[in-house]
Order: sequence, then structure tokens, then C-alpha cells
Amino acid sequence: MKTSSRVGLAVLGLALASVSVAAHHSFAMFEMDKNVEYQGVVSEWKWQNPHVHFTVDIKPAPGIDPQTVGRWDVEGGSVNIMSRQGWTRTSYKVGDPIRLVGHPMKDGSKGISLFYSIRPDGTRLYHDIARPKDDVKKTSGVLP
Amino acid sequence: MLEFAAWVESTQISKTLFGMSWLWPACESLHFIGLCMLIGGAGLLDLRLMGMFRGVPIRHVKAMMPWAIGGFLINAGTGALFLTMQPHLYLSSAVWWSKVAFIVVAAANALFFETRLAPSALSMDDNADTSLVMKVVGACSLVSWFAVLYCGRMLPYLGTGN
Amino acid sequence: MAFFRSLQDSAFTEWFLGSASIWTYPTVLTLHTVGMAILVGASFVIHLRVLQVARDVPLRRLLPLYRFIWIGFAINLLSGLILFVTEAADRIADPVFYVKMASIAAALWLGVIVKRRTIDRPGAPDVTTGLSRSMAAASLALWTIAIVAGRLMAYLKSAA
Repeated sequence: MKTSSRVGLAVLGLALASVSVAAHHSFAMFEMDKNVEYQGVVSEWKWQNPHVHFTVDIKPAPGIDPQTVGRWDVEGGSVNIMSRQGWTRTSYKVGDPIRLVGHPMKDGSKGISLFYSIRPDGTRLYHDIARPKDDVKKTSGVLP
Repeated sequence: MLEFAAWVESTQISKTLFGMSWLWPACESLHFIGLCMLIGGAGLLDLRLMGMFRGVPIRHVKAMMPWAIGGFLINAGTGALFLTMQPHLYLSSAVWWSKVAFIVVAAANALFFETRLAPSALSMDDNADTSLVMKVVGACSLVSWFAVLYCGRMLPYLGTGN
Repeated sequence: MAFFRSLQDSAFTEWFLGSASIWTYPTVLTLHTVGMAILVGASFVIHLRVLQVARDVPLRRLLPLYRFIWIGFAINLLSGLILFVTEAADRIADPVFYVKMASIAAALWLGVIVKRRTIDRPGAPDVTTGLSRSMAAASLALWTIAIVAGRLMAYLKSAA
């Protein structure tokens, strides 16, 4: 019956989709209940839809968790929602120091799903559409 | 709501589902396919109620509805999976609750049609124009489902959730 | 390649993707979804009928649905072009983009052939042939692949 071949093709298509996705960034790949703090310097800044994205370079230094050293890809939210949360195109630029808290990738590669950044005056810039203002109580790797 | 969402996300089922990194994108694809089935199938009936395809018996057009319902069920199922995996994205979002409201309107509208209008719709003269009530019901259905689509697609861009 | 790079790096792209207004990126994206619903929804109904679902409806009476197919396609061609410009270089190098485009072209082409073999043939019986049905089923499968490919593209955005 022709419907079954149609269904079969659709399943094949989805299977192909799944296999490829596993190799790339999907936010299902982040450990969403792990909050880690990162301190470094912005090396790339892309203020654009659908996701604001920037990279942070972290160098070894006293007080810096050695596990965070390197270049990290940070994934944010949409320009629209981040704007309403207080972010602007110029919140950061290449060369700026940055402190942020985010969720690292499950597979250990250097990707972060942004939770919030910490401004020099200590205020937090959240990005998500429905994040609590306080930290979720499961935290690890947060430096004093 | 946020505490409830946090609790759901701490459950084993939520973590297991969300831990399968291919599941979320697969659900998204299925959700798009389901909406095409729903809007296509229900859209045909809605257009007929609004007066298009005059001469075609409404009961014949209704034979497409099981496929529209199938699309709805695919979306209800994938929607339930999204809610189980990442409820915090939805439960505190006014946009999402608007989507739910429009789904309720569409469902209530369909129920109204089934219980009150169907007898006369199914037995009316095929070549007559549809009544004003039928036209409104058809239009309401189409508008509601597109509003559901709009709210769903705009979720990452509208509102703040705060 | 340089042409596509210049599109992706253009001032238009920077403005369009960096705009916090809902009337720019979010609206174009949503229009793309609306167009898909109309285009694939109408195709779905027509092809289901070719596959003998709701067979009491004369196939010829579904002719007005083709208007919606072209409206949906027009919306998506326009919104798609805008979205393409903003990612031109990445998409040109992305095999999934080609899968999507080829699937759409093939699905539409099959849809046109099915129409010619059925609705457009004067005096043709309303019961569709096995070949038309196979084409209708294939067209539906291709729309499914196009949708999946479109979703997959969102996950394969270059991080650069």
C-alpha cells in the first residue's frame, strides 16, 4: 500500500535527521541542571537572531577553575527576548571581560548554554523566557 | 509554576527523555508535519462551511477529518513530550498559555459544530449556501488554528516570561 | 562563493538578524511556517483524495485548492529568500539545504503531473490510477522530507 511507503520514507527522513543532529549543537545536549561560572574575555560577539552567540576565551590564572580554560561557544536566546531582559547589541564587545554562569555540554566539549551574565556592578543579565531569578539549587563548579 | 516545572525536570522520565538528544528535534519535525495535516484536513471542512466548494456534500468533505484528527493527536503527543522535557519553557510563558487558550477555542468550536450544527449541515441541500452560523464556525476554526500556529512559532521571540 | 558570503555579511543581514523588533526575523520565520501550513496542508488534502480518501468528493471539485498551493508557495519563496540571504554562505555549503530544495521541487513537480493526469484530463474517470496514486504518495513523502530537512537546517547553523 502506498501509504506505508510514504510512512517509510518519512521515518527514513527523520532517522537521517536524528543522526546528523547528534553531531551538532542542540540545547538538548547541555547539562541543564548544572550551573558553572566562567570568567574570561569575549573573543566573538554575534548579536543576531535566532540565537545570540558569543565565544569566551579563558586563560589560566589564580582563581580560575583550570577546567574552564580554553575557548567556549556560548549560546544565548533570541535578540527579542534578550533585549527585554536588558541585553543590548553593545552589552559586550570583542575584548570585553565577562563573567557568566551557564550549562556546559554533556559530552565535555566547550559549549555553554547561557544562564546569565554578571555585570561589573554585580547585577545579573538573564536571557531565558522563564528562568527563576535565583539560581536553581543544583549547582557545581561555582567559584566563590 | 516555576517550582512545579523544576520538579518535573528533576523526574527520571523528564531527564531520560531530554537526555535523548535526537528526541527534541524529531518531535519538532513531527509537530510541523502534524500541523500541516491538521490545518489541511480541518481547513477543507472549514472552507466548505464558509461556502467554498458549493455542491459538494459536507458529509463527503468530513471524510478527511480522521486525518486532521490524526495530525492533532501527533501534535498533542509531541506537545506533551515538550512539556515533559522542558516545562519551564512553557508554563511561565504568557505566549504559551495564549496558545493553549486558542486550542481550547478551536476545540470548543469543533464541539459546538458536532453537537449543534452537524445534523443540519449533514442533511442540508448541497447546492445551497451555508448558513451564517456555519460560516462563522468555519472561520473561527481556521483563525483559531492559525493563531495556535502563530503563538507556537513566536514563543522564542515574544514576551519575557517574567 | 564570494557572492553568497557578501550576502551573509551584508548590512541588511546584520540589521535583519540583529533587530529586536518582532516584525523582522520572527515575523518572516512565522510567515514561513504559515506558508508551509497552507502549501503542504492543501497538497496533503489533494493527494489524500488521489489516494482515494474521501472518494465521494469529485477530485475535480478540489481544483480551488491549487490556488492555496501557489499562495503558500509564494509566501515561502519570498520569506525563504529573505532567510536565505542572511545565511547564504552557510546554506550554499550545506547538503541539507540542497535536500530541502530538491524535495520541494520534486514534490511540486509530482503534484503538477498528478493534476495533469487527473483533474486536467477531460473525461478522465474520477477513480485514480495506480501511477497517479504512487506519485501522490511520493509527493507527500517528499513534503515530509522537506519539512524535516528544514528543521534540521536550524540545528546545523554554522557557529561561525
